[in-house]
Amino acid sequence: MKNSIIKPFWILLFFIFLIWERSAAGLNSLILPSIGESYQALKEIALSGILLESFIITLRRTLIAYGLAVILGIITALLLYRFKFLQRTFRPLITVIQATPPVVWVSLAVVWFGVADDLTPIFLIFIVSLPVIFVNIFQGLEDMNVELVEMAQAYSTPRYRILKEIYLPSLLPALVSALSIAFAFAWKSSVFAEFIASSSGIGYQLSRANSMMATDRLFAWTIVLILFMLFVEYYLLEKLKKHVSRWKND
Amino acid sequence: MTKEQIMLKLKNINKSFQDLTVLKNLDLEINQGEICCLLGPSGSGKTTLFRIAAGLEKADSGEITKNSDPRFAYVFQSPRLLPWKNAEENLIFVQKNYGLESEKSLRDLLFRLAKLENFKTAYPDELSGGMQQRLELIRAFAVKPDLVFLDEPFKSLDMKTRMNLRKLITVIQAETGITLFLITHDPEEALLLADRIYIMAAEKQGIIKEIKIEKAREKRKISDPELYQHLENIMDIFSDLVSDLEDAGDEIKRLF
Repeated sequence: MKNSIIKPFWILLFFIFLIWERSAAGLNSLILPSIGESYQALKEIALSGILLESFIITLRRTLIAYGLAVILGIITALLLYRFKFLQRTFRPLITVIQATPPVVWVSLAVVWFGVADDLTPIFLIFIVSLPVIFVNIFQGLEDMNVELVEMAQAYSTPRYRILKEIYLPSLLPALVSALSIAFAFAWKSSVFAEFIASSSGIGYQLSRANSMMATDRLFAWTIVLILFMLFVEYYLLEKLKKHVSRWKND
Repeated sequence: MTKEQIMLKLKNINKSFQDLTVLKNLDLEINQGEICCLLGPSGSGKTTLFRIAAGLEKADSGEITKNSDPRFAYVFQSPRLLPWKNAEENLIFVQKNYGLESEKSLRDLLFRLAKLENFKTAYPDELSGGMQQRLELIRAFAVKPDLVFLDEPFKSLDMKTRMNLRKLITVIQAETGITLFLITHDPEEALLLADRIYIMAAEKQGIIKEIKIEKAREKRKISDPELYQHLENIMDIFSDLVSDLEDAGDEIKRLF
């Protein structure tokens, strides 16, 4: 696993901060707030309680929709893998969903659900993450080593053991990668939907900061979004990845 | 254990893949306790016949008779080990299907015989190719089988490892009377191991000759007149099958 944050990244980050600070010094904070100003804004939203409140709202929406997408994505992948006629029927539909820009989905959601605080973000997250989960799991199924299944059958292994001890472990890497990619999609879609059509959550706060020209706040919220994404990707998922590939010799 | 009891009998087996007929009206039988070799060049249908006999593939037509309900084990050409299970867990995985998972001493013995006793907790990825092949081999015996199918199990192994593994299976076979059905394309290997050899050729879509060898296995040497005679016969059969390239001579001359 070369994925973990390593030293060179910290050096890069240092240079990014340096350039940021240098550029901000010569510019109006409306255009580019300095690190100090952004930090101040972050402190403000944290202390006022908006940070935690909005974060929890966005996280809740993301988890509900993402969870649904994960479950349905896996079920769809299994069904389409198992039944070729379903595959021929529905496979193109998934590509269609994938090809439709998120902004179209949000517009449709607003038309369908009105400015529904929860429903619009949840719908968007779901519709954007579902194909990602599906495609990864489906690929995992197609890449599965059928020779191992045949070996198990040659030794009269019952079906449920084949599922549990061959299908599941061989799908785990695909599942983890699906979870990881889809989470990034879900998190961003969530904020996007809130930005357009919601009156709560981080996305909504971003849109407020934007309309008030509070660029320092915009930066503060962005930092929150990025930090959380980094935490999920490099801490939670990294642990999971290590666990599922512990038998790999590298 | 009576020697003449039939373990597996195939009658009138036919198998085609699309337009290609691989097996045509094929008959074959293996007695209990016997080592039976399928000998033939690549593409002669050995593996197909094998897979049909083992029940991994269906014949288009024909009849397969087994002695009561024998337990089969299969050694694949390239090891099919579960990468997420360590060496011992790979044996337990198949043992569980027959309620044999508590037979640790059997596993230990097999690990010792295959010189893998220090690698019980190693994952397949951590083993060399030869070690994986050995693990694949002992997994078959871990289920106390009645019949083991061995699909070129010694292919791509060096001479010494081959000899060791041959020794290993013949020792187990001699002590247990487990029937072995072995694919090889090495005539010498077949002659040294088998009680019965079936020679296959793609041109005939099946078996073209059956050889029975009476001489005790442990006394065999390839230089024995009996074995040597068989070897010559086998060579003759195969050289008849070597395609005649005479008419290509002119073209070769022209193009080079």
